[in-house]
Amino acid sequence: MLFNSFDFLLFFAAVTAAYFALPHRFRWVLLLAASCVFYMTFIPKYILILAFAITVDYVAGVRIEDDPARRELYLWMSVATVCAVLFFFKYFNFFNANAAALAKAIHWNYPIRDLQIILPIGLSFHTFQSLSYVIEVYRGKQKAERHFGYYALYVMYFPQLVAGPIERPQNLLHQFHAPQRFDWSRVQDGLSLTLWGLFKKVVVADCLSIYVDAVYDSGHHTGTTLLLATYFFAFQIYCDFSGYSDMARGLSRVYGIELMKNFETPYFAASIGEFWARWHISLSTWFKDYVYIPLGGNRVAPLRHAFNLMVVFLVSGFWHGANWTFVIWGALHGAYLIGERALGALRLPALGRWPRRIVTFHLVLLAWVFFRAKTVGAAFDILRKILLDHGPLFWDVIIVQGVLVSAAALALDAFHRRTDYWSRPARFGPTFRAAHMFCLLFAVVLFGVDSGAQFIYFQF
Amino acid sequence: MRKLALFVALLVAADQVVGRGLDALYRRCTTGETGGLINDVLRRQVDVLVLGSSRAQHHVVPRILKRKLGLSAYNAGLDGQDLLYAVMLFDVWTAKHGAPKLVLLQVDPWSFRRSATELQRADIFAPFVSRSAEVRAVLALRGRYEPLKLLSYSYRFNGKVLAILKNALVRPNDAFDGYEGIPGAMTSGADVPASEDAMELATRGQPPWDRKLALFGQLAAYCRQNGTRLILFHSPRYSTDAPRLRAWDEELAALLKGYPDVDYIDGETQFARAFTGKSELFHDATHLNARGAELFTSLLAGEVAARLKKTRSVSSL
Repeated sequence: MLFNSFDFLLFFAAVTAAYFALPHRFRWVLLLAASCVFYMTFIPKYILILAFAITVDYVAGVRIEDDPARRELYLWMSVATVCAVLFFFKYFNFFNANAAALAKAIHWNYPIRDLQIILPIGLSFHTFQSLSYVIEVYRGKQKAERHFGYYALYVMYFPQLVAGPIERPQNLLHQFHAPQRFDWSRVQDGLSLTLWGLFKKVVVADCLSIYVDAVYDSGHHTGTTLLLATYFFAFQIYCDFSGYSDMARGLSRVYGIELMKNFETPYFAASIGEFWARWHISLSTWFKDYVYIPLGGNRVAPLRHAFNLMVVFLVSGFWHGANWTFVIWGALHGAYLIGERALGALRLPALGRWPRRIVTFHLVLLAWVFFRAKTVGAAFDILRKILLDHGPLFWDVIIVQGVLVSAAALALDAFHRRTDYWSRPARFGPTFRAAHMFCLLFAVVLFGVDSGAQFIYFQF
Repeated sequence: MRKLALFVALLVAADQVVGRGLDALYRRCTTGETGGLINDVLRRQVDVLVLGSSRAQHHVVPRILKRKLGLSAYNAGLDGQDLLYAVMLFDVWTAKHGAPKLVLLQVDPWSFRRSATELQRADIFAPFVSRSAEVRAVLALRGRYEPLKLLSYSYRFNGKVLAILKNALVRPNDAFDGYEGIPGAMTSGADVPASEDAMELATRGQPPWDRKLALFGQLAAYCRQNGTRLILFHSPRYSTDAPRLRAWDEELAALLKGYPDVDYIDGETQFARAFTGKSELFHDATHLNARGAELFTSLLAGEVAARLKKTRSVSSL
């Protein structure tokens, strides 16, 4: 069941009506049951994997708190178990295929075949959210949740179950315990934020994907066309993923539960460091807190610092997908950041903010080629064509719509950030807020691509 | 609760205002592939309607039909469309003009099969949803919530706004007869359009879809009851896949058994000598160029005239 489907609209309406009709003490049951139903609409039996991981981490959290002498053991048991599940489903075939390729190169008959399995939806997201809980309990920054239902809800909460934001227990768990009253203004703002996310998904991302998919999946296009498709992909992936995140935040706001911001107009960033402070914030802060800082962060020698940055981005790339294209994408961002720090240390005269924004955007764009291409070879071929083959543009009327809706999304995004609209919508009058909501709704109805396309990040 | 009721009331009112405004503009459009062509054919009272996909639109020249048959004609074929489009257009057109004398319907092996792409593209008729039961029936096949979504007046213009704004300003061209010849000749025998290939691959091996058969049955019944001659035709291709064509012929023969008054002209087999392997007559492997279209229309018109002669004279139509 996708957020951009009519099924979900009916599901959400029913759950919301029941949520506000029920007394607070039963609401966790409703949300948990709804989350189970939501998850089971993808591949029902995979809920057992989720139940297993939840049980392991719930027990680990309680045992870490109750048995301080062996808390490290429980932490590692938990980490090893959930990572093993992640490895089995997401990475086994990747390592196996590489081992098989290596074996073939040395003429060794490799006997292990790939597993015929489908990746459970959102596995990387809820694994990281679950890990975050156990680590925070281990560090003593979060009390272990004694109520199994609330803990299960923390991992399974349907608005952010399949593609984040990857929440922290300090932000989310206590909100489930707090009673929420029906507040029309909050509900309206939540729905408005959901519409904004839906606008980005069905009006911008799904429109751009028509051109991007046609070009990237064909392999017969000129460099000019590939360049335009890559620009489009940059906006497609941003609007697809940030659209999902905004919908998750908006839906959750209806219930009175605030999820963290995941994007802050990242394409307006003036450096790669700033880009990562604005792009997929919940993941980048996760890596910062649980990988980068434990490695020593920036309080180490310059070479070690560079190593830390590269490790974080290689792991981040690998987190996105079991493919060398994602590893190279991560490595490129790691290299950018290392380069940026090195240039900063040289104290070169700074460019203006807009030139730096343009340079940053194009560095990010270069990396997107690897993210979108099916293989590393295909990515290099695309880059070669972009540089050398300036043939005619593959024209389609969707280009005009794509440019217009991307520009509209960027302008609105900048407006929302400048006015901090989604954090403090009450600053604007009810007429303005209603008009804003109506415009988004009609844009979705009139320009939305009604294809029911899945969100890109669901595959991770 | 009062706020919610006000919100819903405003929403419905805004939907009506936006929808009606777009509808008024849409009706002024007589060009463009998001529906303008439908309005153009609806303006024409003709004897012969040519229906089907791009293999109808770019292959049949109405002025040649007129010269050879002595009947006025309009080519209402459209890129990317197929049988569902033909059924809906026929229903809307006959509601306005009554029965035509002759319908030429282009068919391909996938025409009677279920295709998600074709259903997706059927939304071209959404602006006519309140005017035709056939349109409502076809659009309902797109998904179980489609009838609910189409209650929104604005939603009927989903994906069409920019085209409407652009085409509403274009003046109608009375000389246009729906045919669009493709210039140039093919350079290589491998030029099969990806969309065509995908359509065939996506539906290969599927049995005919009972919903499409039912819709075709309704069209054929209307023609029978109203004295309209219905002739299906299949356009030539650059190269013929004999086993595929044989299987298709058998499938179509079985399908048409129940319709003795419906004729079929297999242009791929019947005119093979004139077209197979002649790259100078094709734009790509499945589309004739303008020169090929003129030759094909002449041959088709001759065959149509012969078929009509067997039963009654052309002039009696």
